[in-house]
Amino acid sequence: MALPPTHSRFLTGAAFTAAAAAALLVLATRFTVTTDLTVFTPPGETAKDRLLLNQLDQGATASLVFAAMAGAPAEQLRNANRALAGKLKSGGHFAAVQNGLPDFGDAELELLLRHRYLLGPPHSGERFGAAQLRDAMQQRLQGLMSPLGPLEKQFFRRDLGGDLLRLLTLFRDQGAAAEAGPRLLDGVWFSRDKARTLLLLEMRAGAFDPDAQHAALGALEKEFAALKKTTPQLSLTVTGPGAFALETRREITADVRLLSFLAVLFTGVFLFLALGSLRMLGLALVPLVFGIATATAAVLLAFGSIHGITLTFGITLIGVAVDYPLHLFSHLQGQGRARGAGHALRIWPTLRLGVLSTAIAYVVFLLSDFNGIRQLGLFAVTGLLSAAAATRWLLPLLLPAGFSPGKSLDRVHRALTKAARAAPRARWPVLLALALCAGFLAVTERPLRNLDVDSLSPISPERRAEDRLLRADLGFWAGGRMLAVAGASAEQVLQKSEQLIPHLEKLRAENAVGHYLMAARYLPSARAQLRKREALPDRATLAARIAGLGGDFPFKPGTFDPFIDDVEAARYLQPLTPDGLTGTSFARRLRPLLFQSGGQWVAPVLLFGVRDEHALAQLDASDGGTDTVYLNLKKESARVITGAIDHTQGLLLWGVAAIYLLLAASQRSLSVPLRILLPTFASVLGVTAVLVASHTPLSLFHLVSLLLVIGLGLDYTLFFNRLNRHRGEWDHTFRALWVCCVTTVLVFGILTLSSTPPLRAIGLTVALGAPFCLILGAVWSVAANKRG
Amino acid sequence: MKNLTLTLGALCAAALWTPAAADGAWDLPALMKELGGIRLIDAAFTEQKQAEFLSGGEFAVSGEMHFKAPHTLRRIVTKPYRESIIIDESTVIIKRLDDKNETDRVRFIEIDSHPSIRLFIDSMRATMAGDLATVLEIYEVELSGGRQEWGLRLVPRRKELKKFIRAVHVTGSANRINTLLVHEDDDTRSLITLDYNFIR
Repeated sequence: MALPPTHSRFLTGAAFTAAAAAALLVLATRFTVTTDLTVFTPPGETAKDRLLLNQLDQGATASLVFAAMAGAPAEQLRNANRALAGKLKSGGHFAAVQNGLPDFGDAELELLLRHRYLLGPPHSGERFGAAQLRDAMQQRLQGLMSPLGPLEKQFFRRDLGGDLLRLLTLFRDQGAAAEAGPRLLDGVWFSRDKARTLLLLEMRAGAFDPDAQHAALGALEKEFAALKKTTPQLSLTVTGPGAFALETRREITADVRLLSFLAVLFTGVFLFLALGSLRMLGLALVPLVFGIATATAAVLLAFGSIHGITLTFGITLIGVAVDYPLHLFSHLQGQGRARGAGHALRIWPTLRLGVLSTAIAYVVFLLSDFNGIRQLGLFAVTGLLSAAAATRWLLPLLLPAGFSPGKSLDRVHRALTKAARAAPRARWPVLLALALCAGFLAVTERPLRNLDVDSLSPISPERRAEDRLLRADLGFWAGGRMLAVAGASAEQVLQKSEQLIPHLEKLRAENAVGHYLMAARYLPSARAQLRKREALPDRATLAARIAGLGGDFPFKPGTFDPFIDDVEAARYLQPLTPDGLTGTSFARRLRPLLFQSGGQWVAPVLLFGVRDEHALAQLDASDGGTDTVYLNLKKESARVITGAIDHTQGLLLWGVAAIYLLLAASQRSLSVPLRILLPTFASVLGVTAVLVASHTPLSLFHLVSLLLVIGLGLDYTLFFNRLNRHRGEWDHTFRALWVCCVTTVLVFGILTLSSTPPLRAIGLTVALGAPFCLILGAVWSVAANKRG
Repeated sequence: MKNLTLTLGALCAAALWTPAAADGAWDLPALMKELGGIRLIDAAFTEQKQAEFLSGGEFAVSGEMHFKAPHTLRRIVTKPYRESIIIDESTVIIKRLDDKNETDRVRFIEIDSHPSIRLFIDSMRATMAGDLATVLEIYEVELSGGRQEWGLRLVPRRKELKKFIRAVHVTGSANRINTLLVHEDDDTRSLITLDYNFIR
């Protein structure tokens, strides 16, 4: 120590202030939270992975909102729907408001009319041979003479073949089979049972404009509230990706607000009782806050943004940092600043070992392939180290003179001490219990791991069920199974899709699949359009054929000249391309079915009512520069999650090895580290057994929370072990330990009240794990029963 | 001159309405009540269409018509081709009976899938079923004659229907519709004549 103590104190204070200021500056200027799941998926190596990532991305449907009204007789529902749709259409928040079949505008009608001989499904054989023309003419005559004659008359001279009507039907029904999708009541969409009336909305606001999305959904709610005034029994359900994104944000914000209030209240009261000073209470939070700030800043600097999950998990992982100042405080006994620093020095070796051994497990995370896990590793390591540094060097500077821990919880302390001293006697029963836990986990039929992608979703199962219901009502693809076709150009993927049609039709006939939606049904490839064009007869041929039929039908010569003109015009028409749809509602309809992503064109073939997955998987192929892949999104995302979990578990094993080596080096022993690790891993075993036994298979959130339990376990055990050499300190050390434990249980116990499943999972795991660690630490503590 | 027209118009209107009043409250609600009381009709029909695109200027079909309240209508053409059209609450089913082309014989049309078909069929049905409120919503209505021989002139109010129909002229006696004349446009009109076998 070359510098006088005041100088060194000043320098330390300045260094921490500068670090905190720098961290805050980074937070203020760069704070960006991302939420897409793709950072937790492996970098796409196969076509399958890339297509899957694409689907998880949800870009194409992010602004969709499904709405349903119920609670009144069908007629009132219909009127309410019409009124609501009218208001929303004129409101400007929604790009599209649909509550029944689209009534095509002039632009759409003109486009279909013009291109009708190139669009539509391919036909085999001759299109306008004499036999086909005869049949068509008979149909037109009967149509004209039917009760619908006046309607038929509008187009029959141009549309002898009835192609316009066929196309209109195809585009209107959106390819859905008659038995699926909404039913119409006076032109308004209803669920099959007529209980709900339906709307499909598309927000103008982009996926990254939460304020505008908020305004759009607010407008929907406001218009509905106005309807409710006249029809009070009406109820509204709103789901869909757009609604859920906003809802999640709102719910998590509300949750965090309430829960953090409760957490601050309860832990504040408790710590105030334990520490006996408001100022100490504030100081106890300094290392954690400092750790979170520097860790977030580090991730922002290294990755440019921080994922929402990294932030949540990261704060969970470094939650153990709240314990550090508590250890320090409990060792202060009315001494001044200088002595306080001395105490910091005295517990430092134990604290340092705890921090390093916890942090080293996360260093391994930095090696991961998964962007999200690397972020998490960096967050945890930075957070833990800076929190520990703040405890060691900054906190002693801030300690008030003459502080000693409060005695108000002395009775509790004495009772716990008695229990802890007796704990080692319970070793054999505890071992037996642990063996039972292990045995249970080994033989149980219950699933240990939750691989359902929904378990990562912050949306409640009830809301997801509502969403499934509305999607089914609307005949909307519920994200189940698809064939994804990817290639270098739109033309390529359309051609490939067309090649699938005969196979899919065969599978439909065999009942392997219900129906399907594909872009090529609406917009055939240029090749297919040209093929249809080639099949059209020239003017002279067509006119001669029609004239030849004249004697058999009561039509004046020349009646079908407009038709002949149209067919002739079609023979010189260029094929319609995706660009040609711009400005019509067809473009919007086609977007989820044909889009560009990551430098390639993707055409998903959405499958409904899949009964034979194996048969569909047979269609997988790579040829001519296109890839066709059958995806069961649920299964595939489970595969990705399994991959992520396996990967994390593999890293953890390396982390544990690193912890062992670190402990072995510091203790200069190969067996002591095992004794330190035993209570920790026994706790993890115990928590796992309790969760699985209570029908809670472990999701990714539980697993990450178990990492915090490991951190807590190491911390507790090291301090228990420290008592081997410092028996005189039993009182301070043990007091700090149980105060830490109660604080942790309070904070994480409150998380179990959350309405967001992930936060509940984290809360439950840690609130169970902390007491396990304390109890098992005491059971295997050597010192407990030695001090008389 | 204008005044004269108006006066004549008013006189005509008075002339049209007076007999109705004299005939024990014969008015539009009374007619609609008569029509609305019908449960079952079985009749022979002929439909004669005049249009500029037809060679000879006209073409006729004939067959049977069955109506069952409230909204099932079967129209079977027997001459010069065979066809049956069934219109029920929500679908139109068209069968071409003497067609050798097996696959294209039956066509289903979901009425609600086509707003113009919906409108068209509703307008037809409302008249047949005596649904006064709907009739008045769709058409401007003019009743002439007495109970034993009445005439009804219907002019569409909405432009969606006007696109297809200028006017419909119905004649009948008591609860029977005898003829329906549909003016589609200047060149096209259809006259449907009914010959009752059974009515209840």
